[in-house]
Amino acid sequence: MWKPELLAPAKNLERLKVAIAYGADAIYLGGQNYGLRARADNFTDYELEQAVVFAHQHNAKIYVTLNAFLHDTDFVGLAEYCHFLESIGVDAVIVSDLGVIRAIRNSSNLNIHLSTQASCLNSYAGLLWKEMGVKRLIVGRELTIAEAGAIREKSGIEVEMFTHGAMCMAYSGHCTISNFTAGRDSNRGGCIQSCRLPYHLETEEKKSDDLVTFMSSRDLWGIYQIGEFFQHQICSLKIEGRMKSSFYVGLTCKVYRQLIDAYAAGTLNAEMLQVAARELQSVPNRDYFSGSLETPAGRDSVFGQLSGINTGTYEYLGLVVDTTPEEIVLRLVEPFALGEEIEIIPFEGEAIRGKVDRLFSATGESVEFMRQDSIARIPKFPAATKAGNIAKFNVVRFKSAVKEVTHAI
Amino acid sequence: MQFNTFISSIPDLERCVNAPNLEEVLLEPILLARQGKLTENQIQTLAGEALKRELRPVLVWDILMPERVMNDVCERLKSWNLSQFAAIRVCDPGVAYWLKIHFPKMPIQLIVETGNHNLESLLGWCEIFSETLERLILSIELPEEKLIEYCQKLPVACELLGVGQILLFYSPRSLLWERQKEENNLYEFNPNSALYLETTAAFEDAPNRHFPTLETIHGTFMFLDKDQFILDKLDGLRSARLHTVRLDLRHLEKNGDVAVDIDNICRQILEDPATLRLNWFRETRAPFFKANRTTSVFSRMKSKVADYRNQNCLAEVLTGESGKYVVFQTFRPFEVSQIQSMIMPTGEEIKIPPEIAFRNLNGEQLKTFTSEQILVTNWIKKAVPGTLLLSNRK
Repeated sequence: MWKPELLAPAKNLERLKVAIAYGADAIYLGGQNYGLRARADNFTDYELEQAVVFAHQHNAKIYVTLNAFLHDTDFVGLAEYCHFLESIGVDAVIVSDLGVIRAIRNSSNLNIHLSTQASCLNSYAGLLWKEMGVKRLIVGRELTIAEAGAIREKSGIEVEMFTHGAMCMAYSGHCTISNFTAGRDSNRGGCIQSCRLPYHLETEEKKSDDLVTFMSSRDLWGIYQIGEFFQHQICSLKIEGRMKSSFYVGLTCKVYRQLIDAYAAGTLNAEMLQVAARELQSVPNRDYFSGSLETPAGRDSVFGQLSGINTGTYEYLGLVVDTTPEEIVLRLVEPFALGEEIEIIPFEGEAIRGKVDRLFSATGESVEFMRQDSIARIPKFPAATKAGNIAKFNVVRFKSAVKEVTHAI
Repeated sequence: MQFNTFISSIPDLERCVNAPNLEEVLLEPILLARQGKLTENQIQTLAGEALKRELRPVLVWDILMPERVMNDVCERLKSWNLSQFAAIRVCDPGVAYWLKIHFPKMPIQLIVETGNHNLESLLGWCEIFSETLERLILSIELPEEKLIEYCQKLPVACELLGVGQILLFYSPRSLLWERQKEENNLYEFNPNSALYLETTAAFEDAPNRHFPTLETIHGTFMFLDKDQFILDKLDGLRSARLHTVRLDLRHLEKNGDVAVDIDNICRQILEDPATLRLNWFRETRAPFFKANRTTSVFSRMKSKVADYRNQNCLAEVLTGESGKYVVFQTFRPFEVSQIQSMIMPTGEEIKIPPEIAFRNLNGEQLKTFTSEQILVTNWIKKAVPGTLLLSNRK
């Protein structure tokens, strides 16, 4: 049975490998220039070559973001970069700007996917972009799946949709708050996320000291619409988050991989969806909702959290960087103490839970506590020994302490 | 160089007739325009009256058009008489394409204010809509030098905002109505009339900067707290044959009129624009007119060692324990003899101690290494996480 592609973000090579290990069919990532994430590590040319080789060895595709809205001076080196991307076998580039599309077409035969930043929202726009040589539309997040399906059908071009992750409240590409208030171009990688900030709202009739996050969107999830994506032949389901952790990337890939495969096999059921929801809630998030996937996002789409701290039932403890028959080697993201309960997330199957009763440093010294960013060696606890499927790039989590969250609405 | 402005009434039109160099009026229907307040009948009447006064009526269709809205609006437009408009002003490329197909003789004014900051893209739009494109509405994020270049190089007329609010944010979502309804029950939503809620929003840490924010049936919009104003800086653009300067006075509305004082303003632009600026109704600015430096901080945000992450990069420091050990992860197979230098994330080079020994997790000392191997060495001063082990200098 036909399946949509599962497309995941990667900030660096580690995330790319994690995503593919947890089931991504394709990865999107940024190079050193021309993308929308100025602060991300982003891939050097050498790393891009490695990424393509690794992905293709694992039957995955690589899409490179060239989705900034460029000024004339930003075009320097673009043609050469396109030659390079083509030469290393990149599967497609993601572009927002008509000028960039024209420059790419003049210098290479790269496949072009239209970025959601271009806000392609209707089938006439689809026809236009198709005429411009675009092979795939990443449609605006304001569309329902049915609308995206209609665009695909009427314009005869493949359509990709964001399925999971953080959302812009504004039409993508139509927010310049950062440009005019902070002097940083949001459409060239400098967004300062002003939409997440609390504001005082005042009318002539009413002055108020209250703060509200009225422009902060809740996070998208599309787990309850998997069947619709199939029905409307949405070719690729995209997970947002090039800046996000391996925990987020690994877990979201695992969940959506399971749901896509189960739907294709005719085995998707309510219980699986419940488990999927619980798993996704373990990752930091801004209260999920279905976005506009079924109906246009309404009032309930605002995330009214003043503190700006994301919630999540679990925290990311670290990544497995090595294993032996006796122990697991973890790169810690958080501090860790003897006696804590951890959950290792295998690429397939249930989480492996256990209490850590022995802990060693990288040099094998027995310790009771390890600080953040350490390498910890953990002798396999009984469940881990029994499971036998713990592997490098598994993410490891532990239960969050309950956080007090201030809601403005 | 001509002026245009938005109108909403016959008195607006009368003032426009008396405004020097003003030859075009912009009409915003509720159905099609982000800030539209006019019904179909009002639009048709005003268009007819404008024509009688030898003013070009331009229909503003600047909302973005999700497929459902597109289907609905295009259906409704079948009953409209579009022939009396001199042009239609659109923002969504899909709408422009729809007009190209269904109204191939209708002149299009294409809003390219968001993105489209390069000549190549502007030329692209000119080619796509070559037969019907009469004007491009350029971005105020472009500096004067570029605006002049584009006016000279593009094969169509160009327009620029001369004075008016600066749009910061356009969301299709309703972000004010239900909040205000909840809080004080002031507003009754009627889908058949123009919803127009106005408020201001201020950052928590800048409570004195009030950004005008409004909601219409098409979504929520936020504007800068200062007006764009370049009316005293038009000489270069005039020489470059900028076709139209837009005078957007909608936020200065009085009693339903949105072109209040337009005749005097046009006169002052021609006679004494500097005084006009001094006496303008709100604070003014033109942040990108002289230069756009909105990427200048990016170089400081980039990694200092990105250039070293190449085939000469052997391994990266994952962690270390001061005075005790450093842990590396290898990127590729290599031999100990290939190691030449280390570079910190700050770009500073570190000396490699001569007595350094690389061991695996079993404590065995190694001379050759495989890819993605975890290695432990004795302590190396300054070898913080992210430090790179290199085989050659860059």
